[in-house]
Amino acid sequence: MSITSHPSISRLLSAWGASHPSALNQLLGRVQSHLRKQARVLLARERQGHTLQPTALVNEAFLRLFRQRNVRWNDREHFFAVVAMTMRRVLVDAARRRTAVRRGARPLKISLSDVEPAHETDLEVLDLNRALEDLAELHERQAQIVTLRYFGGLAAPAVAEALDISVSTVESDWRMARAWLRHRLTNQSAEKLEPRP
Amino acid sequence: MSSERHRRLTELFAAVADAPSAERHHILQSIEHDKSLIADCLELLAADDASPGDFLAPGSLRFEESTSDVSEPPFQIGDQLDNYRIVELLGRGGMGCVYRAEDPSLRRDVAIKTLAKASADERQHSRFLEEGRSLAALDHPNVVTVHAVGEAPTTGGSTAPYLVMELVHGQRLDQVAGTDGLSLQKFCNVARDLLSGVAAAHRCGIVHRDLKPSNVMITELGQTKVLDFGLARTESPRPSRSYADEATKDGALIGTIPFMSPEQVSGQPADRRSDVFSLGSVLYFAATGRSPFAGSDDLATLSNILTKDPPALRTIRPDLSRSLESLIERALSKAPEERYSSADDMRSALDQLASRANRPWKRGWVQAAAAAMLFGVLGLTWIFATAADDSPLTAIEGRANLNMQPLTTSGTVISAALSPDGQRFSYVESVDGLQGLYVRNVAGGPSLELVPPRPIAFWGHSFSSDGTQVFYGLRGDPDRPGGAYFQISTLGGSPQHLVDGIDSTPAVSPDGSQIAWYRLHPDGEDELLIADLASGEERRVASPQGPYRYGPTFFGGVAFSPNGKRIAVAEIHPAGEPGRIALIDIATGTERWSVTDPRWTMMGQVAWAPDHQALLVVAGGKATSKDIWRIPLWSGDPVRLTVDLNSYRTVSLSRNGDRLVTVPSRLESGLWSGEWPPRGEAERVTRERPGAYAGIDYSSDGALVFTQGGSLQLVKKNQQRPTFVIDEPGTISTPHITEQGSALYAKSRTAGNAPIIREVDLQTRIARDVVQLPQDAYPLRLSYTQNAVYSSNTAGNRMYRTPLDGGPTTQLGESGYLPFVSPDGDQLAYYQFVSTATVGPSRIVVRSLTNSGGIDDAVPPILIEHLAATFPRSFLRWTPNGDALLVNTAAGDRANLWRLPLDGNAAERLTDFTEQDLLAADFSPDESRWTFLRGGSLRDAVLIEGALGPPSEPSQ
Repeated sequence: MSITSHPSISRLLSAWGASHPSALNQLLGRVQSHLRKQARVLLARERQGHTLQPTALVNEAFLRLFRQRNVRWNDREHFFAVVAMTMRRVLVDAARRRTAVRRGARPLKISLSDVEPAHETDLEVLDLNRALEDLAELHERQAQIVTLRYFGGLAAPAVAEALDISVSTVESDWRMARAWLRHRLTNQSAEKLEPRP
Repeated sequence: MSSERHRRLTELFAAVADAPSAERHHILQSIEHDKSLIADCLELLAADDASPGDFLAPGSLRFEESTSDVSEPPFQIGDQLDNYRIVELLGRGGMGCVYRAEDPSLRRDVAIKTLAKASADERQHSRFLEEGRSLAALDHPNVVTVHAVGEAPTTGGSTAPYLVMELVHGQRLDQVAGTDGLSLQKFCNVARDLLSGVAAAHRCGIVHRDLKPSNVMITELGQTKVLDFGLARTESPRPSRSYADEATKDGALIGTIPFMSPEQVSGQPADRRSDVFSLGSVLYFAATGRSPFAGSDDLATLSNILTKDPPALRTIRPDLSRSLESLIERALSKAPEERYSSADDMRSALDQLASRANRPWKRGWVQAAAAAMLFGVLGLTWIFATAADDSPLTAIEGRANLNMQPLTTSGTVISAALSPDGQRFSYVESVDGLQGLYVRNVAGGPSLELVPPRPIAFWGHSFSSDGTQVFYGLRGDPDRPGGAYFQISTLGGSPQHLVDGIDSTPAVSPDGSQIAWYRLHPDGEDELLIADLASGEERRVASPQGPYRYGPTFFGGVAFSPNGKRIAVAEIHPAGEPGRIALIDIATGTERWSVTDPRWTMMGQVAWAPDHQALLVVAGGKATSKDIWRIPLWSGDPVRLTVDLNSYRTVSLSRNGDRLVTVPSRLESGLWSGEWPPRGEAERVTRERPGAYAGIDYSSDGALVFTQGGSLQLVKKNQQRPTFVIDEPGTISTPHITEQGSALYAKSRTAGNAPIIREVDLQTRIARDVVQLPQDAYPLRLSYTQNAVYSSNTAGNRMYRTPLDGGPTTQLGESGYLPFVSPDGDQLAYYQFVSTATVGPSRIVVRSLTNSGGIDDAVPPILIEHLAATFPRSFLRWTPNGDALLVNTAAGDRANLWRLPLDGNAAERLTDFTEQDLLAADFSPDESRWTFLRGGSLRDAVLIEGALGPPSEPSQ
């Protein structure tokens, strides 16, 4: 994808880390287009009037990204990992806020598929997050790949580059993680795949 | 351990995932002995098979909300919170709700703001209340007033804190700024008010944190009020509202993000300097109609805030001064330490900007009071527009946002009235001393003559409420010495006499059954009267309070309130203090309300704009131009609607207030030259040009300068044609050629402003400021010796002397106006009102001056009782040898030249102009010729649509 064709992002990041405003400026241009695209993708099926706005998601993610001034992003891989993680956190926090604000209200749902009836595949973003946290305990790389691909919008080659692994590893890990999450999320009470002492 | 297991599962999964499902179990058994692992792997494979292709695929994420995220209103309509009864829910968001409520004890509406019950914890509750109390302690006209704080049980059974606030009627800055920004004058008002309001908060330790145009209200009156003070923080320590809340409310973060400071974007604490940045953004928005950092979307905006400088303000608003641009730029510095440290500092910088402009050549000259006076609306406007750099000012008139459409073109219309439906207008034409009344469609077409021209004076006219009749006043009919009202059908016919004894335009009640007017009694109490149209029966409603009088005024007229229960009447102060408008309760005759303004000396017609909750009045200084002012009823803070150099005569509104008809009057004059003393025909030197306050001065070597409007022209000795020396924006006047080959002149942005005396080199045409006059110099008439001698009309008629070298200004003697120093510098001549009033008959006074330039009280004054009425554009000159005064006096119809000998002989009329007025004159050094400016006022009816903006709705 397009972001892989910008090898200078790492340099921009370190320049920004060294407080070069112009580097930030250029970086922001890159990040903006990425964030915007990713928000559109993530929320591609949002229904008007009933859903979060991609712009709001992007804004929140952007604000969080640039408030992490104490974090030094030394390379573009790390940076995009942060972007993906930020997107995930934004969604999770939105869901948390919602359930906190509206007791008894329907929690924020994510439809995982557009094919099946919504009631079967809808799940809470918090559940997905929890599942991802559990997956990270079992296999951090797989959770990272899901985060990067799903929340960060990176294609397999970009994920491979970000995690310094082969594309085939990304593909197989992704498939495994997806199956694990699918199994886990459709069997909310099932602990069979949980660690068995 | 579990990770080990998962890793093994992953290996197994990868090994068989691509194999046909029938073979998977077999393969797994061949590579793994742990049956539970095999079972788990098969489950994962089943899940993988069952997963639709887009499970977790990009684009599959979808959010749904079953209901709006907005919190449930904690209170219901009709709920009683302490003394307040909830009437209406004005708005709600993630943070809370705003209600309109009634305060029955004071019979006023208030706004009640609550914190959303579900989103607030104890800490937020107490913080909300704490902020409310700080705000309540902050009593400032530019900050929304908090009347009370409290807590009340909610519908849901919990407790919600609330603030009781002033219900601000008006429009938000984002609504009024439009796409081009505010007019210069409005901008100056907003800048001053906004900085003052936030400065007051900063002094109390309150930081706003969410300054944006939608939090700035412009009241009906033109006053700026800052809302949502300090409340933005109650929800969250972060400056931005949570995107979820905001997204639900507005669809996006729009409205907040563009006005965030860089540190807010970066998540750092927001202090007063953060507010300063936002103030810079809001002012930039007010001036241009756009946020300084606006990008293609919010994200671009955020990065602009962090990294980009906004487009230079003056590329968008060249009429603003460079110093103002710098002020806003400094507020918008990325680094907080480079900005003003608080709104207070910023406000001081603005003040300094004003006083710097006030004294560009010498320090310590301007008294504080004068600077304060200059900081009035007009002064500030002028300073912003001209300070330090001579920016083009031509844009200003265009920015008045008044679209004037001429209805007549004869230049002879003296008054006009609009029908209630705004479709027709009546007008009076005055030609050669004959006046007639006409009616015409606004859209065009022929005029219908209602009253044929005759030598009589119309005293205003109005349409009946159904638009079928015109009521008009007449004066000058020997049979009806006190004047009278008549009524005539708009189709013509015979007029019908109504009442006698009138001194104002008739006002028609909304139901059409009554007319109201006033009758003056110079030796007793003026009367406000109402007459029943059916019976002709009249009754006295009220008389002016205190020292005020209803007249004499210039085209005065009263206005009924929309419900017909009150009358608005303009009053003047006979001693020259500011006039006022009073609202009189018709039933009781009591005064309910009044408003005044220091810039009002002469008051004219009043109109009531019902849908706009505002009064309009024609008012101005005594000899300066009159403008139409708008006075919102809620605040009573007058704002000038017309800002050009014309003088406005009448004001008439359609019933819905959308259309306005008035009569601007503009002066035009041409230069003439002839033999002195006047005999035979004078010859015209130039054609008529527009411009008020024409003036002429001969040099001792026979050259001549004269001013018209904003230009100063030179006629060299023995030459006929003038050459332009300088064109200034605004008005210049009172030219004076010096021995050094330069010309002094007085310059003012608009009539009524304090002028600057400037000096232009006649060769190089380079001009410089010489001295600023701290007073509102009576219409730019000065006499130069070593001093500028002039009169002011801001506080009565006082005369002043300001040394041209910048020494202190001193007052000259008692009251008087248009002072002129004799050629030898020994005497001072001036006009003086005969009575203590500043209206009515004047005489001319000649005093001796001491060596120091003050009035010598040891020498008795010479009093010249000349003619009862003075011409509004009078001049006063000495004859070259100092034995007489030359004045222009309108005896009869036109201003002519008169010679007033100082030896007590009779005044002598030297010219016999029957058309155009003599406006200015001077005499060649050898006294063989004189040159003069003649001209007159061109007056036409104009239609102004939408002058009042959209009708007002209360909002919070």
